[in-house]
Amino acid sequence: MSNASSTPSARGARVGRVLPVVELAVLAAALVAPLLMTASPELVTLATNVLILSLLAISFDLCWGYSGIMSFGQALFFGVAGYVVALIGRDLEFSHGWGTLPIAMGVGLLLSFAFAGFLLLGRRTPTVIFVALGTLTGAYAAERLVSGWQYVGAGNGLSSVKLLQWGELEMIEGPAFYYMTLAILLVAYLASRYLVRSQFGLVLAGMRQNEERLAFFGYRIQVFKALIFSFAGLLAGLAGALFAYHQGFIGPGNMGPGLSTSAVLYALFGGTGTLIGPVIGTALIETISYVLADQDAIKQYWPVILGVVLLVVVVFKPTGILGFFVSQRERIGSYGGRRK
Amino acid sequence: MTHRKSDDPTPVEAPRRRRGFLFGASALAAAGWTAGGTGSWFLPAAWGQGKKTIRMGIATDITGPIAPSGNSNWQVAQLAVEQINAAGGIAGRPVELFLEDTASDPKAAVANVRKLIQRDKVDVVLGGITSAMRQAIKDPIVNRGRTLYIYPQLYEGQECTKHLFNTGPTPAQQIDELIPYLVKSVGKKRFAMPSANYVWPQLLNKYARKVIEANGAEVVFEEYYPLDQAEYSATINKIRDGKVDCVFITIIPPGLQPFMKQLYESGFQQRGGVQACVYFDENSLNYVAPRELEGVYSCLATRSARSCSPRTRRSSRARSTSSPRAARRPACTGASGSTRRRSTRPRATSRATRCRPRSTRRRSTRAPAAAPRWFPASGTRR
Repeated sequence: MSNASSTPSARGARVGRVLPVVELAVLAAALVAPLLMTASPELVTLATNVLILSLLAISFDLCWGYSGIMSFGQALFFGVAGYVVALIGRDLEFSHGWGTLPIAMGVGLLLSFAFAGFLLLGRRTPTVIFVALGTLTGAYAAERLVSGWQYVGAGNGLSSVKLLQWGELEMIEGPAFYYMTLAILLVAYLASRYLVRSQFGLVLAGMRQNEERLAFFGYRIQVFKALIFSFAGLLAGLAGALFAYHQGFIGPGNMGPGLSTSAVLYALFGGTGTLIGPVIGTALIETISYVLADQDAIKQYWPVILGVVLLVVVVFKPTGILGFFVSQRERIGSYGGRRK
Repeated sequence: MTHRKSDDPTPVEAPRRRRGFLFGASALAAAGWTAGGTGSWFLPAAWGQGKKTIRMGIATDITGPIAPSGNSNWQVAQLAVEQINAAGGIAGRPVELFLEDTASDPKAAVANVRKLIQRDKVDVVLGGITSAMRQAIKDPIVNRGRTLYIYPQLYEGQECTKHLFNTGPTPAQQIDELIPYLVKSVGKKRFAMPSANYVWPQLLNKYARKVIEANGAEVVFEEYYPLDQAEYSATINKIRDGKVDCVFITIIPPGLQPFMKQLYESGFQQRGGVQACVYFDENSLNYVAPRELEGVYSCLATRSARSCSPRTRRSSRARSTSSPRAARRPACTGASGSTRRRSTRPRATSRATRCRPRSTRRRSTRAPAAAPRWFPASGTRR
């Protein structure tokens, strides 16, 4: 082992240079961002939104970028968890973070596990198309269901969501909420990073490259897929709860194919197969649309412009924005006990 | 500011809590940002002497299915503010307008409305067209944003939120006039209630059903559809088979257009059926073809000089209620609902009516006929 270890570690040192730098730069930017925005609280709100949606984008990237599950249903787990915490706030008058955030994660986990049980572990061969259509249909059906269900507000959605509480503190949008979200995102990010760089992640990467070969190696690939899909659902649920608390509103539009597609675009734009890519993609898309929507000259056309930009990137740079900085080899990464 | 206690600390509060608050504030400052005046969130500095203009935010649907109404709201707001400013402003202070698009989509609206509050720092927000929109944006404005909110549309009542002012008519004020007229004078006995599935139709229908049945007519069916439903043939069949002679519409755009088209094409009007809709005004022409508006009874009365006299109040309302041409009459309600006269009879007993501040209930007896007014101008203030 000792004689063989010199080459991989040297190679690892060479290829593993850019991504950690990008990650640290993004973290540093995220840490100081609110300090530069003290004069304009609406930008802090925007930044908090970016962090929350980043979590959703990461959850999609875990499915697609790491395990080859084309999930158009991330917004479903997002939305259902958001509705659940909003209902808990409305009907039980309870919004303590130590209770509701784990509940939201549990809801996301169980729901996505149920979906995985049906789509991935079921009798049908889970081709990419089958899973994509299955999750898409699920998200669409859920959106139609809640927009007709009066208990959850039907077309109104649920507004005036009770503020998130930590003990005595009530979290209203602003720097405090921002840093709380950043801390949660950081924990989720590190957990995901640990997961995809472990032996488990190695199986996922193998699965993404060649499913049949992994199957012949004796891995029950659908079980692995179901596990990562459930974990992604957990993250999406957490994001949904934070979103509902932050916006004070959750509606049918927050759980449909529209938001699911947004999550796909965030990840593709930033660069799938890296965890920091979706974060960058979310920040860029949300910032661009925020800026464009405020220009009077192009107020009418900004979604078109944004769409063209996205199309260009997705078509001509399939590795996303991050593909300009990070080599393909580093993107695929090295796995397992390098540190041993 | 960035956080607050679950119960607002007042100046005479126990020192322990204040110390806790200060400790919290200093901890936040230590964590890396400056606390810009711990008391500022409680009473906006803008209410002091220094500020000259009144910053007024308009949050309305500039895009999306409800855009025709939203754009006319915005135009009327500009016109009204122009007139108010030309007359010297409100209490000597000019009004400055800020627009944000609520995009007919509560999800986009809650984000956009925050820009009015947090970036433009408006003193008051006017707008929201559907009740779903009001419910979505009231929390960011009133509770989280600590800003006044005026909702100027007809609505379902039962809204009692601090710092939210509803100036439009409630179901009682509309239905109590319209339904008896339809039953007694027009002679319609069998009502259908196709509705959009959100809060306003639900509560309006509840009241309307009561009044319909009290007047000896009957409700054949009451159904709720998703807001964007495009196919109504099952509903149309039910209207035909149930021998409905009055369709009481609470469907809103984008579902409204296909419904009215399909209803018209089924020959409902030719068979002598009529439609009633409490929100139709001249903006309706932007949504549906004029022929489909034939035989529509609406009770969103427009302000006229005659209607301001108490003696002729009842008759003038009946007239405007009764006119099938009401929808086509050029009128001055771009801001539908805002200039409406409303019943002050004790029977209009929704909670919202009672909790509305007196100033919004008072009406000016010398109001000019032409100018729609969103806001009591300085001249009528006492």
